[in-house]
Amino acid sequence: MTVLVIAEHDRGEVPIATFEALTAARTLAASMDDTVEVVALGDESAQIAPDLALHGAEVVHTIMSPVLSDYGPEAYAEAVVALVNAISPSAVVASGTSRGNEVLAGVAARLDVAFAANVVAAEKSAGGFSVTRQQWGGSLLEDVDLDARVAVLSFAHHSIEPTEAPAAGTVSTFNVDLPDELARTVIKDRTVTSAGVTLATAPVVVSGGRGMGNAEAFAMLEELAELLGGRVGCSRAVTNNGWRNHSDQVGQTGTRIAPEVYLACGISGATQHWVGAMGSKNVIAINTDAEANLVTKAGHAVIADLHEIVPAIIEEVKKRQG
Amino acid sequence: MKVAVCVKQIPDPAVPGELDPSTNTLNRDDKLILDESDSFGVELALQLVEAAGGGSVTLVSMAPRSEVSGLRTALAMGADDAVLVSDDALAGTDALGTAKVLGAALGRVEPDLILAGVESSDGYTGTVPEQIAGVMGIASVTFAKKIEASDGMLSIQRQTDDGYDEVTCPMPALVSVTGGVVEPRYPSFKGIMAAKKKPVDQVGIADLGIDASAVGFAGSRQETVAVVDAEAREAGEIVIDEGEGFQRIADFLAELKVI
Repeated sequence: MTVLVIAEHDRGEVPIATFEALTAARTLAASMDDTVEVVALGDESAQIAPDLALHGAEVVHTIMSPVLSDYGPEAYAEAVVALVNAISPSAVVASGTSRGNEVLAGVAARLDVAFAANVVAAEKSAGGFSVTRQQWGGSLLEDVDLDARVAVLSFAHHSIEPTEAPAAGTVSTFNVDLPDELARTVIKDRTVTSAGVTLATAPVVVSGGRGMGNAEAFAMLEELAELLGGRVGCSRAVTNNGWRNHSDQVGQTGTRIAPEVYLACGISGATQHWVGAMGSKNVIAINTDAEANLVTKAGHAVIADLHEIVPAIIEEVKKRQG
Repeated sequence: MKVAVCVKQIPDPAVPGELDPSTNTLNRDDKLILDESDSFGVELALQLVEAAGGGSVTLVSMAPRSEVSGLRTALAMGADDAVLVSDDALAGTDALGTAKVLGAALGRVEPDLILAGVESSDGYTGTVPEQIAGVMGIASVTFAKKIEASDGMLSIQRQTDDGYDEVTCPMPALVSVTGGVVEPRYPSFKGIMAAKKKPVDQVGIADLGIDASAVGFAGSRQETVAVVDAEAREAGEIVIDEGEGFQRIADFLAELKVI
């Protein structure tokens, strides 16, 4: 049988999350002697096939339709369900990104089967599948038995290192008539407010919390982030105070990040925030409170007044960068 | 304009949650409060009805023991009425079961627009809104940060990683709303008093035509067999700044090859 991976792409650009899902899917497929096949939707689906093949896709099913010309969760879910009904895979998986989770939620609702989101491990069991998934924003791991004829799973984003495993990547066109009605959700325009590296993908995130005191203080974090090739983030207290836009918020209801380095300035580290930052490989905390949550989770913490130390760090970094 | 808002009443996040060791599900025996992430949906609904020059805001919730305290908070903000689904058979219902129940309850309300939070603060599954739309067969837009309605059409700013998309869709539709996009109003004293008299339609699953075997632990296709804490991080090196702290941080950054 087949483990079917839903490839995400944004107008032809495949995010690393999809390669993570493919890597996890290969492990699941190998445990069941299944093959890994991918479904790619929209006009660019054939053009992304080589990248998908490089990461282990034996077959790339392409589905093209006027209603799939741009991303729409409803049309995506309907198209995937049509393919699932045609090829009867043992599992349908994607990355646990916002898009991946919303498409799979729709797929599971239409197939009337369980959906396990943000899975870190999965295997076939006698009655269905046994999976381990992140729960409560990743602070708990839950072992769940899924009673399902087909497993619908998303793999937790950032929980696996994507690797290459070249496979045939045979392109197979799947024809399906999707009702025009599915195009009722239309993307009219796109606005990019943060050019280049995004908060979600930045290798370095310099974040400020309540301890920043005001919106103006973020100028120094902007300067430091730029020197380090990173982006500025913030905690919920900051957006609640109107100092930064919600798009900069790291946390459960903001952006989940996984940078190499997370430098948290004046952030106490409520669970809500930590959930979004826990994917960081190295955490450096600056706080006046040695008992602050984030200080106790950081690999390196300096107990200091951020208003004094951040300008000094900027000068030191400039000096060392020459 | 008729807006329905899905609201969840959750254990107070300020009080650490406990799992029931026999079922590995969250203990919901304590008093429940309105999920803060749903207060944004309530506020947006009130603003949309005000902008439309009339209409109503109906809350739809599923909770044990006919719990209404969280609903009263949202009614005090200005919502008009509520539908509360409460039934002993619902304990242990999974996300899809919840979507079916809420979908059936929303069907009774026949709203032009359904708002929901992106994900609850106690379960973090984040799948229910999309599944409600799937069950009801209506259009959906997620991660909305701004919504405008006119002539049966919605115009929505959908948050993306690097900005936002302008998305349009016809009503009825379900829209999930990100947190922090509006400032939820505080209930006034008058609002709190009025909320006590606002109608709450209490229904069971039989009223919604849902069979007990399709929901609850019986209908759940997911059984949680174990829960463990994700690996906690140990505290690393903590340095008290005595004037050299900036150099230590630059050292860490150099060690991590950032500079």
